[in-house]
Amino acid sequence: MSDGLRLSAKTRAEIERLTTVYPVRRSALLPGLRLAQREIGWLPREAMDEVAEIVGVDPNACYALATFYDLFYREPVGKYVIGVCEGLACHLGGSGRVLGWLKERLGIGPGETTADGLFTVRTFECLAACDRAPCALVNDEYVGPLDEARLDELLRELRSHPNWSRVSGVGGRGSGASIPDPQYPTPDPRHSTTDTRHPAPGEGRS
Amino acid sequence: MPFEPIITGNVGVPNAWEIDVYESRGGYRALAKALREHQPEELVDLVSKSGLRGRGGAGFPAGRKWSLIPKGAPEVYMVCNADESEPGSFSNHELLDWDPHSLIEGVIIGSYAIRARVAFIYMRGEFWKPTGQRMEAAIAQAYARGYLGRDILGTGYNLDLHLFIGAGAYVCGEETALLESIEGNRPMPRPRPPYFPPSIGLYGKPTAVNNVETLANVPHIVLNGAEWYTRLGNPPRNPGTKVFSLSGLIKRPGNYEAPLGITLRELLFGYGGGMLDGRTFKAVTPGGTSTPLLTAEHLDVRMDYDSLPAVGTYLGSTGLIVMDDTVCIPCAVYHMSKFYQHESCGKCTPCREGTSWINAILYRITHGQGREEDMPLLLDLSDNMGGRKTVCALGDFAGFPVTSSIKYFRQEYEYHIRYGRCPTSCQPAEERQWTISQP
Repeated sequence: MSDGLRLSAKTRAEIERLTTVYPVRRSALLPGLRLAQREIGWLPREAMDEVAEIVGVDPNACYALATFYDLFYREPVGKYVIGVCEGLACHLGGSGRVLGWLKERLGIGPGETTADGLFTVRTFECLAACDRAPCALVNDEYVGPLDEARLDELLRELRSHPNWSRVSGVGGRGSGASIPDPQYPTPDPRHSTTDTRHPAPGEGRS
Repeated sequence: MPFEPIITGNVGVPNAWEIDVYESRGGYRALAKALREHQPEELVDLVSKSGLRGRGGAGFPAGRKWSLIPKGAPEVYMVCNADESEPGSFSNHELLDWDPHSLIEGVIIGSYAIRARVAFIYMRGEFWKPTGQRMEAAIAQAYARGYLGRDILGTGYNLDLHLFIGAGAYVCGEETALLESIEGNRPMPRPRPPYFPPSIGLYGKPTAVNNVETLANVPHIVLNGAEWYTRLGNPPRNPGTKVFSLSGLIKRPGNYEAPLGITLRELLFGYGGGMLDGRTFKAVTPGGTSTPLLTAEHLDVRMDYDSLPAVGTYLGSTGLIVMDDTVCIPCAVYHMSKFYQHESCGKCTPCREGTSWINAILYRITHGQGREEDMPLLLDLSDNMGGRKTVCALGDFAGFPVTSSIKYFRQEYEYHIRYGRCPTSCQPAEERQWTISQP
């Protein structure tokens, strides 16, 4: 029985498989934690202990990673995590305004979750999408450049499409693709991160 | 000079990430040529002769890096560093979105050159949709076409390629921290000596760690020859092109592939379209925030690995964040300092403590509580974090924006300390409460 803190048999099997994919078993630890968070939405201690047990390391090894990396959540987060980029380019582009609008609309600041459990607001350091400043990572999706209208549209979309992006936090298996797997997700062209403002060949080149 | 993009040629081509499109545009021909016509050592020589320098920032000659891998070592690894996290750099991100196969082809050729049987692409955790998904799909396609796996193209060469995705940590872009991350440890950099990756790398075995852009250049060098490459850019020491990321307060932000040695002016005012209307150029980070700033007096400097050190900065990862006359420099540097305070891994005391101190001091300067002694203190701290006092260069990086901004914009710090406010109206107070938090 799942209590929402433990891994399903399917995820356990996937992590088990990962331990045989890499040259050294322990390399499955980070991808294993990603899988655990993909399933549960955050990393409860129970799940980390399970990952450690499957990989065959001390649970401390899992806590050491979970406390280091930015994308691991050690507390429950909202269904949608709105991560506003606070890098210098986004700061110059108005990331402060974006956080202000979010506070007005959702009543929460960075690190907080709405009472209905729908939204968590957080900040990121540079997301490597500075040409789309100010940008944000909403679960796994890059959005930007954000202005007030686009932010409202985004919030409306998130509220009205319950499965906009089901995965909370870290998506992806990050697994060794050395064993071809027919279940690779097809990239959705609608979510291309490439900004339409990229110049056509020749344009902008003097 | 007419200029043909080399590595960004597929950016913007519909479905460029699909193997059929890539092949139809000449993809994987270099791989066939490399494996069928060359011995591994010849490829190392070829890349050495081309003069290709590592695009990750340090500019170490790529061929020389490969030649450091001991001959005849039984277990060797190739690792591609796709952990692009330098503030202001987003060129790998776009390249990976559009053209994952060119990187895969470069990785296979590089692996063959150093006789690796297993390769990794380490991609930062935030790059999943669609970047990571496309890379996974591309790797699967490459396996299906026989470019990866056993007996590649019937040459008897075997290679397995893993996509390894991180989980958000700037320090993983440092090559030894990246290797720790793959090994499942807390990604803290390793001391060198003895842990030079070509000698003691991944799992303690000789390892070549190369940047995305470096490897993406390799197929073109194989196809066109070293001689061709040495004529591009700013030869003899800076051949080739570089993808420059322009962002911040500039008309046309974006990635632009340009010859190495292009002037800063041409980059900002030609490619980037210049400043926003009515604004004037003030400062730019030439290689991401981890490089000392350049100002209007440097507009004619050439952007390459040797010209920039001559004016006290570095090419880094060519993330140019442009600041104009509306920007208050101390406030901007405060934002940069937050990044280093957050990303310091905590292994070395000077960096762990120094980044927090710098952040706290810049907080009080930008909040009307600056003190007379703050500027000498900032310089002293930066000095104590830099210059090989730490295991990796993050300590140096954190000091660069501080020392360079005090060098060029001392009067703005003085103004802040004396009058308790910005010399320019850089940010309204209602915004400030969200962006500036008490450290």
